[in-house]
Amino acid sequence: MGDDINIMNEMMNSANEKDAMKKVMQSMFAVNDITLYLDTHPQDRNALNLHHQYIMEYENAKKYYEDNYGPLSIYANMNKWTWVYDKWPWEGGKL
Amino acid sequence: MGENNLFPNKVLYGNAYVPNQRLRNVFSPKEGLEKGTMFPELVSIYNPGQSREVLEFLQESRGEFR
Repeated sequence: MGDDINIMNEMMNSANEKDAMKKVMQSMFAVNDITLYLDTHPQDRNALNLHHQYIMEYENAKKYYEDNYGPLSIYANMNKWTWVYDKWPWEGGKL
Repeated sequence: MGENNLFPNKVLYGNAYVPNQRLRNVFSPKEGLEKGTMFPELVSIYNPGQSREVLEFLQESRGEFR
């Protein structure tokens, strides 16, 4: 019974982690695509505002992920060294 | 290039031009990532052999579809 609850908790946790990761990827994509538009329209105020908005979304999504599920890059602040405790990519861990 | 023109006012022969995109509404990041672009006007689903020119060519060459 205890095991079942642990497994359910882990599944819920991994679903939440996936959602958090999706938010990071979505906001990252938005920043990238607006950047392409800005390359040909560098003076477009509305596009610059969108760029700013998506960067904020990305920063928030990244912070939320890293606070809850661990670092996304070596530039993340860590209060303990967690790299070695995560799953390796071939074990289903993140790349 | 004029701000509101799709193409340069003065064009040069032998050059190709891409219409100047105008910013309208954008998708949410979620929908954008799913569709592959943040811009609704750039959504372009690839269907093999279904470009208008190819269809017209096929219709002309077969005749019975005209």
